[in-house]
Amino acid sequence: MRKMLLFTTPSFPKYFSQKLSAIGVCYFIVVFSSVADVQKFHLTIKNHVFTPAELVIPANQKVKLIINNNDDVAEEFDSFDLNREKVIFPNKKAVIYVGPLPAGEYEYFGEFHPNSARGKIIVKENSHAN
Amino acid sequence: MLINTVILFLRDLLPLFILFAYCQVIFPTIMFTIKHKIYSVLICLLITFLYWCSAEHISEMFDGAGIEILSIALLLTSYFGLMLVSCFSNNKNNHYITTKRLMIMLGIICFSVIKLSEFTLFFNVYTSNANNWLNLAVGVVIGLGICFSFYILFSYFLKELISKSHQKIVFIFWFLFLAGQVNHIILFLAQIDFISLNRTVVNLSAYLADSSEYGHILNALIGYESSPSQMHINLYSLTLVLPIVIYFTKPLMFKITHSKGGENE
Repeated sequence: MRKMLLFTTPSFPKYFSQKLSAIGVCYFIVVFSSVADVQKFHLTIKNHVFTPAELVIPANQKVKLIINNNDDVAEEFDSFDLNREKVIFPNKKAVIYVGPLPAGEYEYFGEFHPNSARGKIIVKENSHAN
Repeated sequence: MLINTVILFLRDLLPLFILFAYCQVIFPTIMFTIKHKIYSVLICLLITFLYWCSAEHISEMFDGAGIEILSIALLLTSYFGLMLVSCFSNNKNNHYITTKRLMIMLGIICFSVIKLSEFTLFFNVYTSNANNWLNLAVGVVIGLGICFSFYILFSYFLKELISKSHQKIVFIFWFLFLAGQVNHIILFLAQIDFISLNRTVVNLSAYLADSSEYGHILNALIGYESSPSQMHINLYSLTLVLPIVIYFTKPLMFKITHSKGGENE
């Protein structure tokens, strides 16, 4: 009972919560300011095919990938190169954040229809929206 | 279709079988009656069914991040529930048996719901679109066979280690498994832009790719990532070291507590 000194003083919880609140506010300011600048790119799934098959995005920037599933069955956007996987339900859309990525090609596929639903994301330096 | 079905089993069901193998040896002192097991299975199936029915609506919540947030919550609940009980599993105080039992059940149910719901969703789409039922059936048989045989062999391996007084090694493997599973939250958080991942620290995909069968098995066993980022490594280290420190310093803490209790008397 005598051992709990620091953690039971009245000022410690208040000090800790103030610091935590300040850190939390700073974190959310950083997060939301970065979200506001994110470029958006669109992919569409129709007849188990991704369109466009090749999507060009800028290098070293985080981008927002919006995937619209226009089919009547679910599909999963899966990419080992990008380390992303997300189920897109029929006639719904899904949002995935990708990057920042170095220049290169990153393949993805539809888990449920891997033969037809394939594509790649090409990351280029100083590229514009596709 | 055949390969996809087998990979589906390796990815979603194999971790469950590995979890059951560990629970058999890690928690033998905590009695689970048939009633507890039946209740656990029923609750798990019920929650999985509810999850499956409402997944479409959940996916649209929180600006499209609903599924990820729910998965993170379930993974963290499972991790902390199982980790805390296993760290103090040798405590034979009957007063805490019920609490431990509930925490274990909660941990197993949360983990099972994640894996079973993903498996159910995939399997439902596979079966509705399958043009070749024979390939699908063969894939199911092979996948189930791999999972069951892995479970039996792995259980035997763990029991042999326990019988040879290598309990600490078993617990290190167990904590590796828990750390590997809970690290999936990093990908969920990056996917919904809650965190930004740094560049990969090392790329082992040339030696063992994530998409290979061995990659899936290692991912199920220890959370193998062929190209982990710094954040992956940090979280993995934290979620691995924390339970190891608790487990190995637990006798020392109890010794100090009891000696202090003797002094106060």
